[in-house]
Amino acid sequence: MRPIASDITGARRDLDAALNRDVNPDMHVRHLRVCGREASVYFADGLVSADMMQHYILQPLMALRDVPIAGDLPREIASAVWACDVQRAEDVPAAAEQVVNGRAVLIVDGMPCALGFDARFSVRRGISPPLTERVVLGPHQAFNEALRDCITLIRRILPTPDLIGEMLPIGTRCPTPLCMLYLKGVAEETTVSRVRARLEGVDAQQVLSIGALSQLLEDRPYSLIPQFVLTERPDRAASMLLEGQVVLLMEGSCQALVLPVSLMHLLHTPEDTSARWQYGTFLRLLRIGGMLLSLVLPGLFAALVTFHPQALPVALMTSVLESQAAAPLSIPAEALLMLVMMGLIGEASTRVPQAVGATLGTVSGLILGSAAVDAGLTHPLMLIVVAVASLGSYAAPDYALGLAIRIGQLLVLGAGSVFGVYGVVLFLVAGTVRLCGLTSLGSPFMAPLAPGRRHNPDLFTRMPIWMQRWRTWLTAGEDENRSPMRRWDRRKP
Amino acid sequence: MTDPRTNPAPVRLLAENRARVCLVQLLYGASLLLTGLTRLLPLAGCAAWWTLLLMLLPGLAAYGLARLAMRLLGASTLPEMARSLLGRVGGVALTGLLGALLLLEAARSVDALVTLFTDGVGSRGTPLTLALVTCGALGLCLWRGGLARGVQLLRWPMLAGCAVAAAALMPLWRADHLFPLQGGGMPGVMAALRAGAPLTWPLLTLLTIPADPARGRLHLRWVPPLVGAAGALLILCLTVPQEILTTPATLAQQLTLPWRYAPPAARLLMLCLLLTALFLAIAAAVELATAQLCAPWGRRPAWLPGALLLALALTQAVEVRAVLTLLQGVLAIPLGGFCAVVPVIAVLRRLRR
Repeated sequence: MRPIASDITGARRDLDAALNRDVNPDMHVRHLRVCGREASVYFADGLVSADMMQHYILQPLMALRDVPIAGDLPREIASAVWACDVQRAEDVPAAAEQVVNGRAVLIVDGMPCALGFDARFSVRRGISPPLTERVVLGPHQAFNEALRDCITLIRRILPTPDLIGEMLPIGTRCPTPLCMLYLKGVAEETTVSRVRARLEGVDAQQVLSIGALSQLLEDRPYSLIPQFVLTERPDRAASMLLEGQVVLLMEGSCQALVLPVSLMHLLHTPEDTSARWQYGTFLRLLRIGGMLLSLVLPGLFAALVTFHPQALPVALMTSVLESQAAAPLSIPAEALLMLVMMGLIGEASTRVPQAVGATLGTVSGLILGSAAVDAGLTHPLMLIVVAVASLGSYAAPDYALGLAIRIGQLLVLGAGSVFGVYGVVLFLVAGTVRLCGLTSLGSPFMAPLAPGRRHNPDLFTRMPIWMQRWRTWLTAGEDENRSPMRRWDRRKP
Repeated sequence: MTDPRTNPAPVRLLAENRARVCLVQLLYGASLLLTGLTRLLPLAGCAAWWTLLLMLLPGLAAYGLARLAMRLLGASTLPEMARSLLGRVGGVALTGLLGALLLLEAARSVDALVTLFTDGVGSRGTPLTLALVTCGALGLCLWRGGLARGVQLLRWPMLAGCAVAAAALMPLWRADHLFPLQGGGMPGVMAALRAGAPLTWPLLTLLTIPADPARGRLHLRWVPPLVGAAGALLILCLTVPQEILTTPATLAQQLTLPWRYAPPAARLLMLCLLLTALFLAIAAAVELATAQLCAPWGRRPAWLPGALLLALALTQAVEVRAVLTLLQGVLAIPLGGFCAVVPVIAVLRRLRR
């Protein structure tokens, strides 16, 4: 590490070289006099606020132009620039890093260090409704790409000093700001230290998004099922903090990464809690049923028609077999074709502009479906099966889980097409056992079902909110149960 | 698999033992059901449901005697007791015997499963292909763990499925199908007892798992699978007339009997339930056999379950059904003998002290 040179010429030369100023025109420098000495302020154009620079950094420095200072020069300058947070940089790389992180760095002739003034200006998107986790009941705000805004959104929901936000930059070459949030006294200390250890163990040169980071942290990277929750909803992140989980936020990513999680966390939505328990339960059961149907239906249908038609009602079997006689493709090939087509429609609708997306999805679904039936490529019943299966996969509250279901759907179809019901059941049994062997940050993924752990009546059904008195199995030992939520008596006036 | 942070060691051990109890219960339930379908129903007819209960008496007696001896000797498991009485060699022999019997049970389930599909329901592939695919998939399950938890999780949907299947068969139930109570006659019942009794030994596998101090009641662990299997046979006896039950049939016909008279949807459900139970029973038997075979060495090679499964799959390449039946009968004798003798030795030891 090259230290900051005491003479201004040497210091300027070193910083110019470190910032590649000869080819980097947006690395600016202003020369001035401070305390009767030659000085320079380095900053990156666009990363610092022009107003802050003008009014709160340059003006106070100019006021010190010829003021003689006898004491500690860095401390005196720092106290003169009172409006900004000031950090010392002892060497050239540290000073250059401060410049590229949006600080204005001051070097003064004869001063053995540089001073970085926080004048960061961030280009940020406003708070908008969530794109992938929409609800009817409940808040409609989502994280944006600015880390500070994301932390603020959570702090507004959980205004307690126990909400700890540790800053742990990630990436060795281009460190990206990352915040690890947890509730002190609620999150297990070992959970927190395990997340910290894993973050420290990430040896990537740069991590560009929270999605990429999640892949570096998960226990079983080859598993189809995600072992974390990526949410863009501050209320969901806050509720998970209250259950003892750790939330990671990253500059430039508009999702929070939650660890550790179980399958139940992937199946629940904030709406389940916002709605009355009867509605929440109904919606949850509908969603879980839809997802199971989505996973199994195409494969089971192909297996039944191909290998066990006697298990179908006679009228249905006759209709399917009659149309099948004229169809050029086998049932499994038909199912595969239709599933791929539905997947394409879904993918295309996501990529096209939002205004066109919904129309494109509906129109292409209708036209392609009826055209396929008219062309004799498929049977109307197959269209219904594939449509139900696709809707079920889109009902998954977690986007990654929805994708996993769509891939699983194809695998079940393959198993059912080759071995019939035998293949489907074998796949499901093996899949369930594998799921039970998964862990998320060392915690069992299928808890509290297998292994059984203490839990609230809030798994497949959502019982009244006042019955949910226990914190989950992920919380610290103390403060295990919440106080009774309904202390009033309706018989008393 | 378990989380040492939220699940400290004693709690984890307890949870693992509970999960292993689920494994043994499932294996025992599936074994009883298989025995009921393939040996008791054809021989005893509508008397099969109570013959099953009677058939278990020797096994239950051996279980009770072994429990008594364990209590007298202060041992928490059967292998521990064998080690204390017969030394290390005796302990190794007993765990080896249990392991071998578990593998034979797994081979019987593989045979039933493959026969059910190749001769009964109909599927693509030869018996060997189906056995290899099954054992390959189950090998994946055993490789990364999670089987015990999987069984723990799947028992509830399986129970719900059984209840639905029973409800679907309810319109076919006729009380007069249960009569005459002795089925085809006492010779048939006696033959069924002789054929089924050697297959009751999986009950003793429950004694390889230490008692749960929180829930206690070690001696009642055998009740759920027994009630389940006897209930299933009773429902079949109520549904299917005696003449059909005792008609000579192939193994595939015996296995498909439960749903022959059911409506199509219930038929599918029952097929799925039987398949799930058999898949899990094979995996459970191999898992428990591995644990027994490796117990004396305290180390479990990761490849062993895979190798055992491959060996099981290869049994489908040759005709081994008769050999399996014979071996199960022969190997059950020393185990039963040990359970019968061990309380006497325990009492003698006490008296000498």
